[in-house]
Amino acid sequence: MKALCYNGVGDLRTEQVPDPTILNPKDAILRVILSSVCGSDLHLLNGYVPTMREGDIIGHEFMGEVVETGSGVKKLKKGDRVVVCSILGCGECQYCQDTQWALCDNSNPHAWIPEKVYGDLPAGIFGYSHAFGGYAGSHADYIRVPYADLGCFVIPEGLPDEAAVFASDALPTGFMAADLADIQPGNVVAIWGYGGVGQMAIQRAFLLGASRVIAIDREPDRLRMAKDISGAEVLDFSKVDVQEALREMTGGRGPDRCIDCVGMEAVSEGLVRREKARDGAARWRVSIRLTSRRV
Amino acid sequence: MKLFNPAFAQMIKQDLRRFKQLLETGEITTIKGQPSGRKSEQQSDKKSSSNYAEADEKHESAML
Ligand SMILES: NC(=O)c1ccc[n+]([C@@H]2O[C@H](COP(=O)([O-])OP(=O)(O)OC[C@H]3O[C@@H](n4cnc5c(N)ncnc54)[C@H](O)[C@@H]3O)[C@@H](O)[C@H]2O)c1
Ligand SMILES: [Zn+2]
Ligand SMILES: [Zn+2]
Repeated sequence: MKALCYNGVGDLRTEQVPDPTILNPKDAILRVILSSVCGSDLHLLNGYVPTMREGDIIGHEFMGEVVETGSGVKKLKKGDRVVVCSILGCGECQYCQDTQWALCDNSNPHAWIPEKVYGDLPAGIFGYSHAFGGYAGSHADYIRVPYADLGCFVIPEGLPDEAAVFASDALPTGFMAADLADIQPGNVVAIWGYGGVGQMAIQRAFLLGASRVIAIDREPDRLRMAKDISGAEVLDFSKVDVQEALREMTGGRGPDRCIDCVGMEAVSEGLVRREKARDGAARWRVSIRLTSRRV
Repeated sequence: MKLFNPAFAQMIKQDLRRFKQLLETGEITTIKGQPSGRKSEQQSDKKSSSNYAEADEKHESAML
């Protein structure tokens, strides 16, 4: 099959690799229908995640069709159209039983690596370095999904592939970001970054009763979508002083809640402003200040 | 046999972890035999899919 392989910082290549096979009874093999690029893939590409190896297949946000199931798979059937959670949980350990799936202490075959570095271990993640298990990722024609009955969710008929794929990673991430922000009915919510995560945070903010959401980005297409599809007001951080604009839009008060959906690869225009000092030298001033009571 | 050798303690831990996996889930979690773009691993599916898997393996075989 074809797969997108990491070969070093900034070096991804599509390569011909063997097809995945069932390795454990609870595994399933999926034909990948959609595999989206998460902002976190940039961390791999930019070399921020240690224990990546040349030849690793990346990708962790995906949906597909079940083509084969192991002997221990009870619920899934061949032909099921499913969306798969990025993070692997066994369902049996204390953490999984406690619904803290991301802490599963059975799903990471390389648990000893993060244990050495952090003193504890995270669950396995598809296509996300050997410290997170070294599982082959979804930017490929086929993928092996361990604990398939738990990680695969059958997509209801009528829901298009493009909508369902969000449930793999961006939806829970953005959803939880808004939940953690403790949004109250009527709040004005500012959300930085309009990628998959930002889009989902906006949806959740409105569901929680936000009266207005202000989306901040600089990509014209994204800003257009934020307005037309997500129903947010928008700010282009490459054109306006976000701090001032937010105050202006909220009667000088600032938004009630702020959510960062940009992450590590933030471009600096929105964070740092160059200003002329009196002596004429250019200085960089960090222009992030708290604009809300709770962040 | 030095029981307090840290490397040895690590091996025991790995084995206990595998034992726990088997007890709780009925299988031992692995990536051995999965595809990668590493040419050396594509000759035979018996080969480890990473040197981390090899290291796991050493931890294991040292106990057998
Ligand atoms: N489960 C998780 O913890 C989890 C899951 C998914 C993503 N993430 C993280 O969430 C972040 C966003 O993910 P994504 O997939 O939506 O990424 P993305 O790259 O699609 O979106 C990020 C957006 O932020 C914008 N941006 C950059 N700098 C900015 C600035 N200074 N101010 C405002 N906007 C700015 C970019 O133009 C881009 O549109 C990433 O850091 C990713 O690693 C975490
Ligand atoms: Zn992700
Ligand atoms: Zn678990």
